[in-house]
Amino acid sequence: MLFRQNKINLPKFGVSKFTFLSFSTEALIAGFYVAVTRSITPIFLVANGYRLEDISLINVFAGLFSLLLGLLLYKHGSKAISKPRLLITHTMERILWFTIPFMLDNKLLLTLVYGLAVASTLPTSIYMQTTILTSFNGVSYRRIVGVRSALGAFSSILGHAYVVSTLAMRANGSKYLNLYETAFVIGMLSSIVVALTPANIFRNGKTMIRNGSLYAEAKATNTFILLVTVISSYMLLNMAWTPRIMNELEAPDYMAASIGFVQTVASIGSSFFWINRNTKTYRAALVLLAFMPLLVSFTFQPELHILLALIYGFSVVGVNMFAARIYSDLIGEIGVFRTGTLLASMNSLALTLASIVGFMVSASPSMVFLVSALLGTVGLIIALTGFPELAIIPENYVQLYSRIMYQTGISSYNLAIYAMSESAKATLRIVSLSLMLMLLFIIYRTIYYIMVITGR
Amino acid sequence: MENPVLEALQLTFEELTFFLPKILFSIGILVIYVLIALAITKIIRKTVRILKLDEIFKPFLKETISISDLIVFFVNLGLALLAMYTLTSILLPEYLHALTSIIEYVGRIISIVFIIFFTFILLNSIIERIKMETKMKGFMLLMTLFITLILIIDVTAISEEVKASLTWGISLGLGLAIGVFAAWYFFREYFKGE
Repeated sequence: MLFRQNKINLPKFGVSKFTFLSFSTEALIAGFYVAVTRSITPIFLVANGYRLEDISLINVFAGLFSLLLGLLLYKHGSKAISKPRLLITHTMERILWFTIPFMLDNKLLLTLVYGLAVASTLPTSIYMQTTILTSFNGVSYRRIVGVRSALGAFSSILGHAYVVSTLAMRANGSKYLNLYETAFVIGMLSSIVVALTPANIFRNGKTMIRNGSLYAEAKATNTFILLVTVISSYMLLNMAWTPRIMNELEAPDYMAASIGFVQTVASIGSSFFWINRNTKTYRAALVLLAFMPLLVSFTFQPELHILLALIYGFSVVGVNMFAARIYSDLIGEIGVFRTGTLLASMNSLALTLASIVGFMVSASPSMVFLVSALLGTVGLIIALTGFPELAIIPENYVQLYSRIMYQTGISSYNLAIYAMSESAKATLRIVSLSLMLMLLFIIYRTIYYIMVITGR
Repeated sequence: MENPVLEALQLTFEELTFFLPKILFSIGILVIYVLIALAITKIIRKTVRILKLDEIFKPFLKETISISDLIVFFVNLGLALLAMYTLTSILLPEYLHALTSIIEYVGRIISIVFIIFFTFILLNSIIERIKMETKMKGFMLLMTLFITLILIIDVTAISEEVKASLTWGISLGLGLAIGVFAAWYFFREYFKGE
C-alpha cells in the first residue's frame, strides 16, 4: 500500500515520443559497441599472453577504481543530472575503451587505462539510469527498460557475431585493432544520439534522494547483497571460462567468443520469458546460476559449453529481471538517484569481488569454478531465506533473516568504509612523509657531494 | 704620472664592472632559492596540516618537538647551504674549498653544542628519576664535564700533539675515577667494616 501511494506521488514529466525513441536508439547503437569492447578485451589479453591472474589483477584495479568513483559520486557528486554531464561521461567512456589496444606493451599503463575505462562506465550508467528513472515512471519505465534491453541484446548479437566472424575469418593481428576501431565509431554514434536528446528531460525533482522505511531500506540492501554475490559468481565464471576454453580445452578463439555470443542470444528470448513470470519462478534462475560453474568445470567437450552458455545467459537475465522488478518498486521509497546508483554500482562491486577472488585462487582454475559455485550457492541461500517472494521458509523467519542480513550488510558497509578511508589516510600520510624525507635526502646528499668535490 | 686617486677609482670601477653581472646573477639565484624555500615550507606545512602528520609522532615525542617544524627547519637549512654554495661558486669559486672547511668546522661546533645539551638533559632526567645522593650527582656532573671537555678540545686550534696528550690524560683520569668510584660504591660496607 505504502509503495502504491509513493508511486502515485512521483512527479509526472511529459515524455515525448521523441525521448522514448532517442533512449531506445541509444540502447540499440550502444549495445553493439558494448558487446564488441567487453567481449574482445579478455580475448585480446589472453591472445597476447596475459594469464588468468593478470586479467584478474587488472580487473581488481578496475573494480576498485570504479567503486571509489561510485562512492565519491554518491557522497560528494552533484545529484543534479544534466545533459552535458551525461554526454561527457558517455563520450569519455567510449574514448577510454578505444585506447586499450594501444597500451598493450606497458602493463602498468594498460591496467590504468583499463581501470579508468571500467570506472568510466559507472558514472555513465548512474547518470543514464537516473535520467531514465526521472524521465519515465510506472508503466512507461517498464516499457522503456523492456524495449532498451531487447534492442540492446539485439545489437549485442550483431556485435558478438561481428566479433566471432572477424576472429574466425581473419588471421592477422590487426583484427583486434579493427574491432576496437569499429566499436569506437559505433559508440560515438550513440553519444551523438544522447546529444540529440531533448534537454528538458534532464530536470531534477525532489525525489532524487529519499530515505525510505526500514522495510524498503532492508529490501534495497538485501537485493544489493544478493545481486553482488550472484553477479560476482557470474563474472568469476565468465572470467575463467575464456582461459579454460582457449588454454585447457584448446578450442579456437572464435569458440571462446561464441560463449558471450550465445549468452546474449539467450538473453533476447529469455527477457520476454522472464518479464511476465510469477516471482517464484525466479528461483529456477538462481538454482541454474549456482550449479553452472561446476557444470562448466566438468564438461570437457568445447561444443557442449555453447549449450551451457545458452542456459547460463537465460538464467542471468532471470536474476536481472528480478532485480529490476524489486528496484522499480522501490524508486518511490528510496529515491531515483539512490536506485540508479545501487543498480549501477552493483556491477562494479561484483567485478571487484570476482577479480579479487579470481586473483587469489588463480593458481588452480578448478578453485575458481568452486568459488564461483560457492558464491552462486550463497546467493541462492540468501534468496530462499531472505526474500518473501522466493522464500521456502515461513514468512516470520524470512522477516527475521532479512532483518539480520540488512543489519549485517549495513555494519559491514560501515566497517568497509571506515577501513578503506583509514587505510587510504595512512597510505597518504606515509607517502607524503616519505616524499618529505626524500626531499631532505636530495638536499643533504647534494650538499655532501658538493663538500666532497670542493673539499678535495 | 696620473692622479693615483683617479687610477684607484678606475681600478675599483673595473673590478665592479667585472663583478656586477655576477652580483646581479647571484641576487637572482638568491631570490629563486628564497622562493623555493617559501613554496616548499608552505607545501609541507599544508600537507602536514591536512594529513595531520604530527599526530603519528605524538605518542613518541609528546609535545616537545613537532615533526613538521623539524622537517621544515632542516629543509630550509639545507636550502640555505645550497644557496651559499651556489653563490660562492658564482662569485668566488676559488673560495669553495674554504667554504667547505668553514661549514665542516661550524658543523663540528654545532654537533658538540648539541651533544653537550643532550648529555645535560639526559643527566638531568636521570637525576630526577633516580633519587641520587649529592655526592653521586657531583660525580656524574664531573664525568660529563670531562667528556665535554674532550669534545671541546677536539675543535680548538691547538696543535695535534697537545690535543692528543690532553685527551689521553683526561681519558685516563676518567677511567681511574670511574674505577675508584665503582670500588667505593660496591665495597664501601666492606671497607667500613674493616
